Amino acid sequence: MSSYSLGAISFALFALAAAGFLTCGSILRMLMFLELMLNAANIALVGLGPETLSQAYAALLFAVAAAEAGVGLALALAAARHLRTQRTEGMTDLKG
Amino acid sequence: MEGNYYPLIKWILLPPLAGAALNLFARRRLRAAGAAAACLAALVSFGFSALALSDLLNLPPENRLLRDTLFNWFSAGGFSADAAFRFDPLSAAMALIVSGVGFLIHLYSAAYMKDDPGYGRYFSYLNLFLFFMLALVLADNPLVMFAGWEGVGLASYLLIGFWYADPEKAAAGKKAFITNRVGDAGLLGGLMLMSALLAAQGAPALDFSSLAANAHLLAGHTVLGMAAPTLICLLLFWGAAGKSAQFPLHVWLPDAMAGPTPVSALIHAATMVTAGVYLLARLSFLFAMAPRALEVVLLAGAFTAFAAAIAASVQKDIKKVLAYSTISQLGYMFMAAGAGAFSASVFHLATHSFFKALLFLGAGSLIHALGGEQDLFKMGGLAKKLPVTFALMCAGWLAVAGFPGLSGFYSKDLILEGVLEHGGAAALAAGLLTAALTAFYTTRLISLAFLRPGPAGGKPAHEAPVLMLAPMAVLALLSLGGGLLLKDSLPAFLGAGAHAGAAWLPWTSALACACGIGAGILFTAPKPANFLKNTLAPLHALAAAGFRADGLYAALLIRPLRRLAGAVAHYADAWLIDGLLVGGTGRLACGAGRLLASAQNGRLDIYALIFAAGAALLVYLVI
Amino acid sequence: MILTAAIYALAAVAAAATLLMIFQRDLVRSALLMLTALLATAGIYLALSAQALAALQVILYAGAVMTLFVTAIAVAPGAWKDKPPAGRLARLLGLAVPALLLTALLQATAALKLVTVSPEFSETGTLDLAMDLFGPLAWQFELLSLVIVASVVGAVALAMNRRRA
Repeated sequence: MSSYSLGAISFALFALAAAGFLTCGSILRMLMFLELMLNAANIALVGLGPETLSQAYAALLFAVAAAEAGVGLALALAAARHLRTQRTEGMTDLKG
Repeated sequence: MEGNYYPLIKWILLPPLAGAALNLFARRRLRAAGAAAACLAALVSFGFSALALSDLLNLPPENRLLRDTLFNWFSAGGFSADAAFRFDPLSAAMALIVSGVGFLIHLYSAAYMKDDPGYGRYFSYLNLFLFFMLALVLADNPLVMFAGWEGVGLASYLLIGFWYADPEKAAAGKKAFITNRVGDAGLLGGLMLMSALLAAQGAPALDFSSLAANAHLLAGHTVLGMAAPTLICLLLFWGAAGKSAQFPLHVWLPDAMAGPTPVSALIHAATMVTAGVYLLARLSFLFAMAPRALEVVLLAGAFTAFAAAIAASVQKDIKKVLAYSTISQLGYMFMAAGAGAFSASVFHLATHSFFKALLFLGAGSLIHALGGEQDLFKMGGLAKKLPVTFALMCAGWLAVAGFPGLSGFYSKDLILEGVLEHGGAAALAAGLLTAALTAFYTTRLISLAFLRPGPAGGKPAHEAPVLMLAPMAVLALLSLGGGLLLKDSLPAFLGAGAHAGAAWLPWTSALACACGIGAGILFTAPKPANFLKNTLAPLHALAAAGFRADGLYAALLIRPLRRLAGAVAHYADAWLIDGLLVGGTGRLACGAGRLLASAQNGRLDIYALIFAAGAALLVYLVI
Repeated sequence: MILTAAIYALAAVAAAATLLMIFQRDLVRSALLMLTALLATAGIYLALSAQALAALQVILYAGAVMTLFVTAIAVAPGAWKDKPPAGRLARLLGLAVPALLLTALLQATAALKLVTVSPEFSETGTLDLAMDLFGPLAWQFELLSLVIVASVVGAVALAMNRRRA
């Protein structure tokens, strides 16, 4: 196989996750798709650069993704709680 | 050309302009003083014109031209027009008539309009008119003449609609102005065509001397299937017809009687309406190159003279009789021009200004005496109550009727001689018949107003003040003796050749005059009048309404134009511009704004979508 | 040979899982599909001889992050269902734009078709990785711990607001 195929795999996964991100209906799902996008980026890193530097970069990216997931979930829960007390609906309400 | 600097000409023009400005800006404070200033301005103009005439007479006859160029009006590329004025025999005659008769009428107005609240405004307009008319007759090129032409049209509009609070009078003013404008379109077309053709051949100078010298360059060109001189002359005739109330642009003059009577005397008898005749005389060299156009002028003049005389014979309002009479006499002048006898037409212009102004002023005196009554059938028996007015108006009456020895006789005779030489038999017959009709309707007017007994319980009438009677007396003298004085000197002065007239013509016209006077006296007795009226009832109704020319124009032109204007206002203005272009642009902007605003609806997923779309686009375009 | 096939197969699994996730309504089932995708990714890493990364993937992603998600789903306020997403146009665009992005990226990397990779199972990956992480990238590695601390603090702060209110 060629690097192109590995790249294509990663891009395809990214696109699918992006599609899901843009068409899902709630913050939680958006965060899930976000993680999948980061995961696809990781695959790209590992696949297109087999030397260890890219693997190290991927390892760093793991940690960042995990941190982001943590904060994001806390944010989502707080927002859901807050909006729920003020309004019934409200997936997103940054209108302004 | 006798030099290019004759300073007196501008001094003929300036006093009326100053008088107009003075009366306009100080009209609240000065009443009698403003009127006196206006009359003085007219007198000063007349004086300077007389001085200029004496200077002119000192020059040898073939070289009588005094010019003055004030400033360069505009120049664009190779074309240049100066504000230049000239004083030659034709201008001299016109300027003297205009300022002289103008001065007399200014005096008359000072007494006639004494109680009117718009006194200062009146004299301002009157002086303004005088200025523009003098500019017209003293102009050295058609452009300055056209400026004066438009100016007198403006002054006429202002003065006809002087009592503008009355919508009918205001409408009369509007009608006069618009009809004039229709004529002006032809005038401008003719001037532009002439200028274009001359400039194309390298002779762009437009002053009258150069035009006379270069006119031969126009021959041989064809425009729209007609020879160029013919087309130009026809267009110029259209303009002259508008200003001088010839068929078919005569409809404004009867309505113009809504203005004050001195205005009718000055503008619509003696001076402004003669501007058309002046135009024809000034550009006679051009008309000499277009015999077909001259034929048209002759026919139009003859027809107008005859038809207007018929209409004048059945009018009830004294001023309308005089209005149709003016149209008829102007027809005579156009007949003369059409027959090539331009100096005869100017001679008749002069005598007509005397006796028609006199008749109008007399009518004004009558109206003033009777407290505003203008219906002939309600007047009567005034010969005893207003003897001086009666005597003066008799002078005018006999002059207009062509009584042998008076001014009207000589001028009309000269015209008929010219028509006999170059016109057709039909035109001559029309001229003679019209002479008879002229005598008839004028006698009818005098008879109904003065001689026949009035209605029972006639109102007391008092004679007019001296300030009104004195100008009338001067005009009466000129009407009586002017013919004898001028009959040989004026045509010679204007450059007409000597010619032998037919011997039978003066006798025939004297016979026509006698018939007319007799018929006038006969048919104003009640029984013959009723007999005539009943037998010719339809013709009577038609003629009294001016042959329904107004109705014809209303149906042909005014109503379709109104409908067109309404349609344009509805579709183009309201729907297209307001609705579509202006409103549509607004709605488009609003809609676009709303569309863009929807991208800011606060929904994160939409934000994310747009972000992703932007990123994709960026990637696509950059990479 | 086997590894190539394995890579393709695992990629297909991950793609299928993601695809199913898009149309899945139930949150829990979505979470499980996500887990599948993450585990398939771990398999891909193994096939590419990135053993340490595979292990990290399983531990961190499929382990810690998934646990976080499942917990969040569990404690999320219950009446909060999946809202229907935006209108048809937005959903269509949401599918079209990533497709556009995909084609753009594929076009951009077309040059890579020439570079051949033949995955072989090698063993030396982990040591080199460690030597990189604690060598040239030591500064970044330590900074990463700061990031994690910050995220923990942030999460706690966000979660604590409830008690104070």
